[in-house]
Amino acid sequence: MKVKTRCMMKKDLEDINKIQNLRYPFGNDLYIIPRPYERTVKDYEKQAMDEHAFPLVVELKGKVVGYSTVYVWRGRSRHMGFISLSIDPKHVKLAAKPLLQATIEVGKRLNLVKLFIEILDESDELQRLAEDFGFKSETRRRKAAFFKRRFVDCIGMGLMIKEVP
Amino acid sequence: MIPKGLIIRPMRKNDLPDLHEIVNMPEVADVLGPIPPLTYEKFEKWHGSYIEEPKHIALVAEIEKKVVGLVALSLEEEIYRYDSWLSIYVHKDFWHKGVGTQLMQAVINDARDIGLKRISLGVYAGNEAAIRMYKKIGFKSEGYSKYGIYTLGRYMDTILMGLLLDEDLPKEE
Repeated sequence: MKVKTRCMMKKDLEDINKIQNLRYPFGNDLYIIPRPYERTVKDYEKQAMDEHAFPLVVELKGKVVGYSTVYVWRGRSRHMGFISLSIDPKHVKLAAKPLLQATIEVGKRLNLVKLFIEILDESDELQRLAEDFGFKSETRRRKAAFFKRRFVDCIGMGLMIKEVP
Repeated sequence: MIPKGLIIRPMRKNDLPDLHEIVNMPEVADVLGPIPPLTYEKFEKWHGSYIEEPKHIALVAEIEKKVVGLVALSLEEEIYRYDSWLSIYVHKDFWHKGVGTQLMQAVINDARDIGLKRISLGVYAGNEAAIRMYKKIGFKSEGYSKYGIYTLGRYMDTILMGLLLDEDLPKEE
């Protein structure tokens, strides 16, 4: 099946809103649901004006089944990018690797030194995927997220993508 | 010893000139996120949001009508809505005098009052005085982020720290 990654466009927002409204999407971009379509549009418009945000989507048979963003930090951490991503769990097998690969490539093209992703402790599959790409566990923010009506630790994982002196 | 006449109060717009002077002190600027020199315009945009946007709590320390420090909490959203991120800085002449601790304690009380469950912060690994103060207040180290910051001419690790305010489940959930 043909998998394609590309920049996010306004026409993708309905599919993206559907993913955001799934009960348990695969990823770390998680929302309180129901999430109104207008919020998805507002976020997209904010990102479009933000020179530090680089959003991508992954398509299967022309349908958007996942999305990601690299946010470049500012000031003294401007060499780092933070990754958020979300994928329809039905399509993780085909879409997750290409999307994370494309997201890392964005970081490399931006000449960043490091990428960072924060993952819920219980999201073992995403942690394993990140490890497959070389991400290493660095931090554990205790009870930082409130998900499924309980507090959950968030695991921070880093990937060095450029050598530094 | 805490300086005489120290007042902790909410930040106001007319505090901006004093605060701008502090963030551009080399000793302070070295440990803050933005890269100096920070123009007044950029600074006003950054700190103006502390006053104008409800997602922030900002308090200042004042001594004899002069602002000598600031602490700000940025409230998180969505599944992170019980968490917040802290930033703090103090005029270099008032370091090691308890001003930072007073600011921290005041903002922790405010955070509890609005139902937050957690405060997060990042500090560069060489800032030992700050790390000691955070630990004294109850923050715990939650790991190192390799090369998280570029300061003093090199990449340095940042330490993430967290303070759990209350582990009870939120009432409204």
